[in-house]
Amino acid sequence: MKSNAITQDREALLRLSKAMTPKERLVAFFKHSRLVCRLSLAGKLRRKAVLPRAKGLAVK
Amino acid sequence: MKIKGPGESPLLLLNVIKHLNRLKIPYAVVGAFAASYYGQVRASVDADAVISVKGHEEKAERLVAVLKEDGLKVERRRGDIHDPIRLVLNIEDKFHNRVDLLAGIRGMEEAVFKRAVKASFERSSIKIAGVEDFIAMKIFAGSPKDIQDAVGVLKVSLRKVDMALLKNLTRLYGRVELARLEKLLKNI
Repeated sequence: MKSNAITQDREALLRLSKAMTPKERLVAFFKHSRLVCRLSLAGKLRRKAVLPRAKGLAVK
Repeated sequence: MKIKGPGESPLLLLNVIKHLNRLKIPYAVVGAFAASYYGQVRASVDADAVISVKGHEEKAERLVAVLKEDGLKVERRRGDIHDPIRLVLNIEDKFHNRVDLLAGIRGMEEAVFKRAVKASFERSSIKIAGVEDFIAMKIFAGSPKDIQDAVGVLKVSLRKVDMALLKNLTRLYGRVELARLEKLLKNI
């Protein structure tokens, strides 16, 4: 699959990465990882809170 | 380094590095940490480093003991004779932050630890695998994500790469890996 939107998005990310110093990229990596992990955890907690109410659905 | 919650695996890595330094176990940070340092920033739930256990087996045992004393969960996985990785230590804290320490990667030179570069992160000094070692490792690992990391590093830090060294290091992993590198370089 070839998507122009994705290609443009990758190019923008590449330009952004090139514009940053390695140290700045490490800071961005840390903030980005923390945000992604917390969003993922929030989703898991929400699913856990909502899904047991639905009959026959078990959450591991 | 005080860890306050989930998503702080890089801080857990800093805590592990303190023990590695104290025990004089050579290490080099790899994974998303190094991929972001040299190339395109990407998120990761864990932090990875390669360590040398060659001649340091007792120290590795001591490392496991001190990590457990810190209240961390440590799992040891040993690869069989055909496995390209001899030992993996999975370290996890109560927030599920995770650090993977890999040892005895087939084809990886011990000199990788000497070539590691010093960087500053959260006011701590860390050693990150050299750019050529990192790209060669990623090409050896070979998954789409690994190849994407290698391409990202080549695109962002191409001018910093010693091509002769990169080709020599990649050759150590095998002919297939060298061909993979040549193909990547044509498209950069």
